[in-house]
Amino acid sequence: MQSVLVYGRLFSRAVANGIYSVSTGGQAAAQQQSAPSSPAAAAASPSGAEAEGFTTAAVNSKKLRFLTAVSGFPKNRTLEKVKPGKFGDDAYFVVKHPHGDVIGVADGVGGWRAWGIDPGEFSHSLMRVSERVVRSGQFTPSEPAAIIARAYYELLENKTHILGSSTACVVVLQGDAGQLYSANIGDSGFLVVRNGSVVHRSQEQQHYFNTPFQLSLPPPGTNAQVLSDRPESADTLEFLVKEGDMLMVATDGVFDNLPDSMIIKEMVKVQGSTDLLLLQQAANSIAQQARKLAFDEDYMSPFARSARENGINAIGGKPDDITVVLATITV
Amino acid sequence: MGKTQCVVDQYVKEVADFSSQYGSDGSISYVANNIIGKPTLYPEYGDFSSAYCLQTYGKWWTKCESATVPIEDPRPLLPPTVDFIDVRYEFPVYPIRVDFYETYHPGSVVRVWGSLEGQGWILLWSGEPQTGLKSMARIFSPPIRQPNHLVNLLRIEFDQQYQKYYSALDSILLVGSTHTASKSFVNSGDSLTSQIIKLGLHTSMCEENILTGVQFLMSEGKLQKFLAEELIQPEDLLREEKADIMNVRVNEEHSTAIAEDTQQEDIVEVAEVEGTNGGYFDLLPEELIIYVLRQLDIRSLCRLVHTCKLLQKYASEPCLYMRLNLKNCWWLVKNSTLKCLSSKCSLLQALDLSWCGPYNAVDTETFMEFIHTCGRQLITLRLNNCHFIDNYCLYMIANVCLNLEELSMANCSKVDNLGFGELKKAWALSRLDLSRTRIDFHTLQLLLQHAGQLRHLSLSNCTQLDMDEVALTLATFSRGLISLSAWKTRGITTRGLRALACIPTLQDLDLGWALSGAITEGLGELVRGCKGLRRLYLTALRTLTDNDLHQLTTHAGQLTWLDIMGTRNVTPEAVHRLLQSCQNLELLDVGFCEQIHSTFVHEWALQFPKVSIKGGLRHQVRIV
Repeated sequence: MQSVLVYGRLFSRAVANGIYSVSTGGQAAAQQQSAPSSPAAAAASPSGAEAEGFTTAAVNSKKLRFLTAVSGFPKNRTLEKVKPGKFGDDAYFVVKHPHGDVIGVADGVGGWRAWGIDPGEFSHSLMRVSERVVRSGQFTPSEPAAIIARAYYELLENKTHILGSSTACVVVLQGDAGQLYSANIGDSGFLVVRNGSVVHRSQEQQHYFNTPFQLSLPPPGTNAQVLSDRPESADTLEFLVKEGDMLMVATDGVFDNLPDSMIIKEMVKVQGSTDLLLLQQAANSIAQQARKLAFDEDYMSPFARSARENGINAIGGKPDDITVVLATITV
Repeated sequence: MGKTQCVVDQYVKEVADFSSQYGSDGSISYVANNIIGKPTLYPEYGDFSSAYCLQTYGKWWTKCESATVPIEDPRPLLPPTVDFIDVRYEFPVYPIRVDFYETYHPGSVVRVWGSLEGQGWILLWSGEPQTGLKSMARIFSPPIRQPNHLVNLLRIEFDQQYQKYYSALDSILLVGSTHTASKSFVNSGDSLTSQIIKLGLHTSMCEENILTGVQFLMSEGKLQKFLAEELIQPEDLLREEKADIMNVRVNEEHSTAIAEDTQQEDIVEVAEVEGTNGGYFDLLPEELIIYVLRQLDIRSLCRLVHTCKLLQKYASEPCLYMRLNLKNCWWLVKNSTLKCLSSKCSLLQALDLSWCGPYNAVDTETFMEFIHTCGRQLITLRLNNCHFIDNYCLYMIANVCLNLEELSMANCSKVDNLGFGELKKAWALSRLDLSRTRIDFHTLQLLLQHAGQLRHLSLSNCTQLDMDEVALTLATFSRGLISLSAWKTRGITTRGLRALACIPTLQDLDLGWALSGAITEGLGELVRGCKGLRRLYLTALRTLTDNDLHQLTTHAGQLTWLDIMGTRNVTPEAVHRLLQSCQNLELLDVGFCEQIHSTFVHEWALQFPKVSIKGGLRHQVRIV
């Protein structure tokens, strides 16, 4: 707790010195454009995309943007109702802002359940705060790690004492320049598919097997025993993207159960299409396949493969929360 | 031809100024900037971080040691308020309706002012704080006047003294039309005052115009009747002023400014009553006249100066201008006001200029001139939210007001260490409020070294300070300190608490959102050292445990106000023991404590009826 608050003070100094600037122009526009978190397990964001299409067309016809579809399953389907913005302990957000389109996912670390702490609380709060930070325009498109850091420190300002930990992955598309910026902490991640093959992907960050890097707010006094990585330790990447590229941001529930080939196969089916229904179907399909294989006990999943590499005799899928955000990059 | 008239709905585009907010600067939780844009929470009801949350509630902040006593104002023009926020909209419109989306403890909005970029404020609506409302989110749409002026800046004033807990707003909608509504015709049944206003007589400078207007009114046969009724005595003038406020809401630029009266010296003759030189006033003894004039508010007093020579003499007596509370009429204070007052304020002892002069209504030179002329006897000076205050003003204050005992400069963002450093000359300083200013540690240390009489210090929201070091400095130089506010400062640890324990006179300690780390030893020393500690705020101290509460239970029996909101580790049993041992407890805030459920709070409320216990709300639907 001590170290987090020291950084909190540094952060507030940074803010006071104006490093984070509020953009007021276009805020009203941003409010109207940003799509709210999807209300159901299978959701699309048509209204946000349409409204944005009209305005961006006027500004710059070459400006790239996301067309997104979200799908997923909580690990225990029967345990809780489906709520917007989360699947079980996973959470996500999608915001279309004039400065840049942002997608984020977070995977709550399940180990907290044993200590009486709801693991989904931290990841969900982190994503909701990130969403608010992005919506209010207080972010720089080229620094997605700053969004994560800002949201993380903002959690300390909540009256509720939030505890827990999660991974985080945030991807920002700066449409004017066609640049994609990403920041990743932990084993969630993304991949970019162009012409049937993966051209960019995030690196999984793990301390050791099945223990990813994680942002955490541990109970006070337990700092020494709890794994807590700083937001500054996020892996950042930036690269150019073109119209027609496809991006998938997902939690490890997908990457651990589906090999790349199956993911690419689904994504290629909607390559180049701007039909939101098709996009949604593709996202649903990826999520469903991951779910099916997760509960298949005889399947040699990527998780089982890497377990074996680490000397653990494992077979079968890995039951986990699944979150898929599929995006087409288009004008 | 002209553009078509249309009605525009607008949400807040930016927050220009505010007096306080619950959240920290730069945060997006519970801050004033959350009022920007469309409502995101309504119709949900609760204490959410994405709303604008006021910093205080109820009367708790006025009863404690650190509370400043408002400067007496015998007849404020409008009841004083606690907080305000200035919100700016993108397009100036003629306002039709203002909607407040209140999402927690509604009923704090008491006044709505409108203006075009701060030039001339129009009172759109004024009302009483509302209590006893249902615990539901609501859209509050007060019946505002629809003035013939473009408005793009609203000032909302709050009075949350009757609220049980924090109030929060989600957003403010301004509905206005781009073209003005049709003027209402002059109604012959109106009172004389309103007719004069409608005909524009009160703004005339020329005697001839006034005479013509008066003759016109006389020809209606009314003037005789009205003149017979009106007696020019202070009490009746007072009634007329009150009638003015009720009828005449239009605050056109010149009509109600105190100082504009200085330009109307030539109208002195109009209101003179026949007979003796000063009416029958010159028959009264001097002391009685002064006594009568003392009952007046500042605006009436200034207007009296222009009635007749006798009253001019008496209404300009400096002994009537010794304690000025201009915060209660902040909308009238301009450069000309200060210039007009400076000739009368040679004995000025207490001045409250908080909230005055925004958007360049008062400038630095005028204020400095005023202090230079009138500041020699000043003891109390309040300048909260005065954005014309800069380093030069502080230089002037420090060099002129040598007897200054109280200085409040909350939210004065233009002042930096050069200015604050000047305050080392204020050796008599006993109460100092530097909330949300940019003072840094070394300058503060310098001030504390010199201000040996310091009793009350407020450093809320000064996140740039290392509060542990400040505590050590206080322990060295300010042994007589009674109250300290370090709300939201970040950085007090057990070391700081140990330092504060060396100040035995401490009674009021606000450490909300400031503490970090395990503080058990520090807290123990603090309560053993400061036997008189009555107010202790430990809000959001996440490391608080039952052991800490045990320290309080055992050693701090005289505790009156305690806030331990936002902790997970505190058990109901520990709180129960605390309630049993602290017999003087009046306020206990256990909100957002995971283990303190509403059942416990209800039980305790019955068992300990003298204590107002806040908290135990059901877990809200959303955290963020």
